[in-house]
Amino acid sequence: MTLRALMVLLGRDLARTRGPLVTAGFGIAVGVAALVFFLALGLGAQRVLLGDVFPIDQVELEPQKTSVGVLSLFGGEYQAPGVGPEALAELRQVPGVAAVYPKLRFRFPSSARGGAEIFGKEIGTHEMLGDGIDAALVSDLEDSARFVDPLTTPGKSCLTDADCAAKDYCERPSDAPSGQCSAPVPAVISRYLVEVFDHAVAPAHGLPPVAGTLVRQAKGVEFRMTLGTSLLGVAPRGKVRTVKIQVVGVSDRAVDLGVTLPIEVVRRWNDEYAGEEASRRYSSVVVRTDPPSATSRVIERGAALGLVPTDTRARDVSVLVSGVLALLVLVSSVILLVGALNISHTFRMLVSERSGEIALYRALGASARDMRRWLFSLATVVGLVGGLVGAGVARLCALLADWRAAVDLPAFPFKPDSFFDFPPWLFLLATGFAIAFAWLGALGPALRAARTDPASALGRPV
Amino acid sequence: MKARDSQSRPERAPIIRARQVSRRFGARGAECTAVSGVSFQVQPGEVVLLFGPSGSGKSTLLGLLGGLDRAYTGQLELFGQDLGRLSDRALSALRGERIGFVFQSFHLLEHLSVKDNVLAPSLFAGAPLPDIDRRADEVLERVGLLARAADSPSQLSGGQRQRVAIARALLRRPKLMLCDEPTGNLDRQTGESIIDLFGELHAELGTTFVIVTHEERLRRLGGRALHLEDGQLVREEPGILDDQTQAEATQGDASQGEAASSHSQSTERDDERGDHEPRRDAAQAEAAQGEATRGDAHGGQAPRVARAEDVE
Repeated sequence: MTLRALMVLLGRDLARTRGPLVTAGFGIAVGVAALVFFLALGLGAQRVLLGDVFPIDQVELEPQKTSVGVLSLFGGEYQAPGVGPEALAELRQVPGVAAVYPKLRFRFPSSARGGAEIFGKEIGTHEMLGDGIDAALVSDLEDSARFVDPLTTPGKSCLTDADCAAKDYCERPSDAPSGQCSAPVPAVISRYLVEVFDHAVAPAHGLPPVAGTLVRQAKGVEFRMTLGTSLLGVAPRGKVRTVKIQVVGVSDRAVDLGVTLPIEVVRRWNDEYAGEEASRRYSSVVVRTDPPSATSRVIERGAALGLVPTDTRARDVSVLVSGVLALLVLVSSVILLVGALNISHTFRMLVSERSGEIALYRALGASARDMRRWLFSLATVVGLVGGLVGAGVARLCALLADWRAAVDLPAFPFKPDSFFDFPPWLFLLATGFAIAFAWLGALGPALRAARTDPASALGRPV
Repeated sequence: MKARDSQSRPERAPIIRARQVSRRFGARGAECTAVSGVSFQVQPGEVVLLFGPSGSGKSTLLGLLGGLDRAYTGQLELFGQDLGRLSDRALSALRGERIGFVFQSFHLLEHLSVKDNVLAPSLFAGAPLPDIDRRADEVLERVGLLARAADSPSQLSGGQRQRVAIARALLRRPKLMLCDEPTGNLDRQTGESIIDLFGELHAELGTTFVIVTHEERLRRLGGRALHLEDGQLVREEPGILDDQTQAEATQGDASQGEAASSHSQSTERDDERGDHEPRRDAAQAEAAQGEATRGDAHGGQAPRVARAEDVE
């Protein structure tokens, strides 16, 4: 049977059996709609939870904490364990590792004040924490180019801030006879910090929440940070001095509580206030993987190096999301199975009613294979149309759900613009599923049609 | 009377060769034998009528001959090919290309037009058939229904519907027409016209006909008659035309030493073996010979379709 002849047969079937075929396709469309809707919801949840809240394509490893550190407090200066260059090199060798970014925590006391641009008055903290990270970690920032060590382009020599332009300050290390004028050190802060501020700090001090306008307003906000002293004490070395910090953006890569600066700046300050060792051994390392499944290998290798993940929530959330997703897919599959049974019933009736016609076709030269092709092609059309309609319905339902969520749900941390993700492969998968289940339903009837005994069936009218 | 192809004889080998063909139905222990040890041959250009009472196995045998039913024992060759050895695809291709079927209940597809019904066999050709549309018009014209090509079969009379079925069977120019009670659902007058049409087609195209019937009036087509009873081939009557075909069939049978249907010696031998070969009815053979002589006297070139009164 030629393709054209097959098309002719299918066209006639669609014209004369439209009702039953629409009914058969309805079950498939409902199943596919549920499948696509749930999968898109799952993917959306995964994107928000694992992409923004708990990034799963990366893992941060830090040295395992031991009681030795506590004991050392009694013996003198505490030397925190660190991640050395050799550990970084080993982690880079793990298959699936896309990049390794060391992080350097502040190893000196500091405090900060500022923020009048946002709050109308200066606020501050007597204990400022912070990290230094590689600029590549915040490459997704709108102004990522600004996240660089300002001394990469040093200004003129200076002794005090008064020697520099109004917006700059004099970056003069403790023992240096003179310094260099420097633009404010760029900093990024975390969304988590913003959430904590809005829900805990702002209400307590009668300050406005900033979440809705933070990205717009926080850029350019300057803080003065005092290095070498804080509420808890003074650094064992170096002089207390003040630097300027300017917020350049909000990033999920920023430390939750504190500021995150270019790693070169922190390395310089750690060297100044905690010694050379504190500037060479990193406090933790962020390993980005591709594919994400390589994360487990990184954790294994890290354990061998005495490094442990700083946060296991990502893995827990990943398991939870995957489990819920699997459950929803199972529900969708059951619906699709019902759709397949519906198709099976319709096709069985069709084959039964047309046994005389099938027998006639056999007498006219159709082979058993032709009959199978005919019914499977019909099932393909039903599955394809059902799949496309189902996917379209799912997309509409998702748009409706997003619209209702935007209107009815209050703002909450990490509230996304859309709860759904519809990658192109999802539509292909849905259509493939629809056709596969349609075939499953048509399998029995198609085999039955191929087995139709023409000699006896031709004894009955068509 | 001689059909055109009977004279030219483009195909010398039998179109059908059945040897000890049996067909049983039902589970073991409760079997029912529909066809039992049937052996016969059909030569190209012959008209063979299968007679017998209801339940004698005529239609079952026709289904076997057309390859529609393959659950038989024995050996069945069609166009020199052993049906038992053919794959489903090969057998289907053979059916589509070389066999035309005409059924008692027409088996037209009511949702299609007359012309689409005629074109139905083209759907299952392995490759697009050239000029198939024109060919459909030709066969419709041949059966006198070109003007009704766009009509639905439901708008046609019984005789017209059977003509459409015949046109459909003729579409791919089959070598063999298998007809199952083609006049069974028609009134006498309409049946007569269908018989005339068969006669004309046989004369024009030289197509081999095997017709299952219980109506004696089809004898005027001049073909050999095989009588079945209880699934057994009990008697054969020579045709009232085509004596040359008969002679060649007999000669072919003798040379093969098989139980050819028209060979009395082999029939006797098979009878001794217990095989169910037809017995020749001498008186009917003489009558048939007389008809053949009348046919020859009619010109000997074009086949003459004997009128009903000739045989009844």
